[in-house]
Amino acid sequence: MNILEINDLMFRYKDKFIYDKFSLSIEKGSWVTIAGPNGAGKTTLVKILAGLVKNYSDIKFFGKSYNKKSFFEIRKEIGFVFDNPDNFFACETVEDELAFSLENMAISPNVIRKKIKEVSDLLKLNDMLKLNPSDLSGGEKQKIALGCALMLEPRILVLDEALMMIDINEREELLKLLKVYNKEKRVTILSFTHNLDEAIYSDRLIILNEGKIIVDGAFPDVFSEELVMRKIGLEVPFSIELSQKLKLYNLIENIDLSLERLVTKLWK
Amino acid sequence: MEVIFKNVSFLYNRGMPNEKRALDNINMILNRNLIHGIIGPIGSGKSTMLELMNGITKPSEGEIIIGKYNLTNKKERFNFNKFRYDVGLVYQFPEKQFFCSTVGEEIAFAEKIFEPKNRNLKTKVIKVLKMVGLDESYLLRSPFNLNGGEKRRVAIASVLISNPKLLIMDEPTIGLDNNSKKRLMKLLINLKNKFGKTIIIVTHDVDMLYEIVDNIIVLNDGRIIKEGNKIEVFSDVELLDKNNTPVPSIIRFEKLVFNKTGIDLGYCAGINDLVRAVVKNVK
Amino acid sequence: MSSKYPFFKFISGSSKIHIMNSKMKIIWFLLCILISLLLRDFITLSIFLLYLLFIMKESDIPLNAYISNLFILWPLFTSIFMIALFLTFDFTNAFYLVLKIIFIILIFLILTFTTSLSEIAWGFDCTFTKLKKIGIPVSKWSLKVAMGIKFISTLFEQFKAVRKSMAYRGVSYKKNGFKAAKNMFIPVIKLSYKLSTRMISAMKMRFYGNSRERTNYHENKVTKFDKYIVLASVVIIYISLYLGWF
Repeated sequence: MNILEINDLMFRYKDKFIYDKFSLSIEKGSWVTIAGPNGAGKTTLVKILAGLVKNYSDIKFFGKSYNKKSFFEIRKEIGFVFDNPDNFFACETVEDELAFSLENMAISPNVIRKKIKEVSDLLKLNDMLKLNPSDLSGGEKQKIALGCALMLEPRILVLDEALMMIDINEREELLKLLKVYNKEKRVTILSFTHNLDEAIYSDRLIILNEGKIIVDGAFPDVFSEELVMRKIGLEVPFSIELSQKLKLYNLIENIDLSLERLVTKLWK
Repeated sequence: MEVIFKNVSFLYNRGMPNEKRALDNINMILNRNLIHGIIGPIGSGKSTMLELMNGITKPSEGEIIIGKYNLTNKKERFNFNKFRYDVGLVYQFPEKQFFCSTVGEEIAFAEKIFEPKNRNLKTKVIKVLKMVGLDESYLLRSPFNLNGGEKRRVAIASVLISNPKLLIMDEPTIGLDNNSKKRLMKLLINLKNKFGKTIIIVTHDVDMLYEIVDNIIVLNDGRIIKEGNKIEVFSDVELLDKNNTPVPSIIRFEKLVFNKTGIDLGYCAGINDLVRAVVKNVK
Repeated sequence: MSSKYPFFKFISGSSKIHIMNSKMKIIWFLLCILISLLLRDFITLSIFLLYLLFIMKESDIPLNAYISNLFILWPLFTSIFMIALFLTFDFTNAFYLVLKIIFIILIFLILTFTTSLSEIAWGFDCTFTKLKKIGIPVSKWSLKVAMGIKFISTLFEQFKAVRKSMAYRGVSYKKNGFKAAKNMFIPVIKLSYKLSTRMISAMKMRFYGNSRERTNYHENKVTKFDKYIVLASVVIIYISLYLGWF
């Protein structure tokens, strides 16, 4: 079943078509990474999916048409994490921020309390609960924004450069956490990024450039299109670049994402 | 232009219940004409350290001397106007501080206020645009309609126009795609080698630093954990891991190889060097 | 020209004032504004001042927070006093006018220090909810009130931030005075407006206003304390009317 279907999306900004008859289907339970350089149209697409910009295209979530009437009903099942968390914060403490959306949906305070504990334990936000989100660092803000999305227990997570300000070590931990959500809780993940390192647990990688899909395939096989990626400015993850170069010397047969496995293969 | 910190400490929200010691007794000397990197986990005090170099924020304790300027001398206030010519600060997401309607105005902003009668201002602006790899056609464009990498370079240009001897940058490559990143790194190396500038970078992008940096300072919990040249510091993988600080991928790989086989692949400046070393050492 | 406690910005806490029920707090707020406007005699003034000092103490926020922020506005108070004096030649009237303004700002400070913006919006919404029946867009206006407060607090914050960013490019209003101030004025207004509208969009995006009901994570139920301080303010209104107007 397709959890998201976009059919012939048209979107214009000033006198340029950013999206011209763009179509995309996302399967339920998959993790799809949509990568593209700055200006590829990723953020525009996220805004369209979030209903932040007007457009009259045929978009279906969970088989239902996405329009003014169904908007709230659909949106409360989708967790959005935007690239700039400052645009998203509406409260003065982290705790209130986490609770906000659920308060607005009239969820009982006991349930909210329980979920806040769960989410802040998961994302290690406990020390920050009484602090003002605007006083925190970029990486901390992004974690809180992710926390707010997880509070909804969404069926889909849409992430727009959501891990950009988080350092490498923490990013790996968060990706592992998202993997649990994806594989065990069957949450569909749609992740927009220009950093292909984040695609490590994806099923499918789509490369977007200037509003068009130029590569769409299973991850990591899709990295054979390395030249394309480099040309449009995407950084290929280190392990993949190394694998590809070693392959040229016939030292290994297949691309490997894990550096440990590469070492083992090279020095049996 | 060198930077000296003597017993510097900084407390946030001094006297209030949420007081926090962001920097604790920092002593360091950052020599001139080098690229320095300051790394450490989130909340280690990196950004605070940068802020203390801006000539406005004062430390809670200690002395800060940048070049010939003593920022903390209570008896004699240093000349801030001259200081800001010599020290350029580029914040995280500097494009957030744009407020002019054209790139040319944005870059010339500070110069206009200080030297309103300068007829050579336009030439100066074009020169600095070229320095960051943008051409004259950008002069009349709106800074808000540029892509991430271009915005970043315009912000840097607006600081470079006063020809600072010291450039301080907070996460200069964050949010940039690969091509923009590579261009920016080339620019920084140029600024050091060709123009003799000193550069201090705070970042968590250690792979970027690995390629361009000379000297590294590792911070955690407001203290300096380790300091030295890039090989010394980055090779100490245990220490970096213990302090939750990222390790460059090349070093990480070399360490894995060493742990498994005892082979030392030697210094590899980039991935191609690494591949050559692997080829040499694989049976 | 700044306080350690940003102007009109929420200070987290769990004092009796913080946990007041949103609706009661807004009612309290409006009654206090009314008292400030009705002030005419010295006795009511003293009673009201003591009352407010009590509330400020109960808020667990240092007195310095209130005083330093009032102090920032001293040019405003002095100019209003001068203008009133010039226009009416009545010292007492001018004095009371400035005092009213000081009290109103103080009441705003108490409200904004102890109540988050979404609570303020919700409090207004609950208080005037009956007006929705006659077609008044109460929810919209409640959000506008919150936006106005955010705008003012952002104005002060942005002024600090723009001043800093200009300083990094070498422009300091201390040195360059008017020229610098002129260049800061428009960006600060623009940025503040942008940020306050952004907050409203953020609230709407997070489903604020989508349901008729709304729960409060802090479960601020109406307490005896709430009732007493509202009652006290009603009593002060009566005293003010009796002593000052009749």
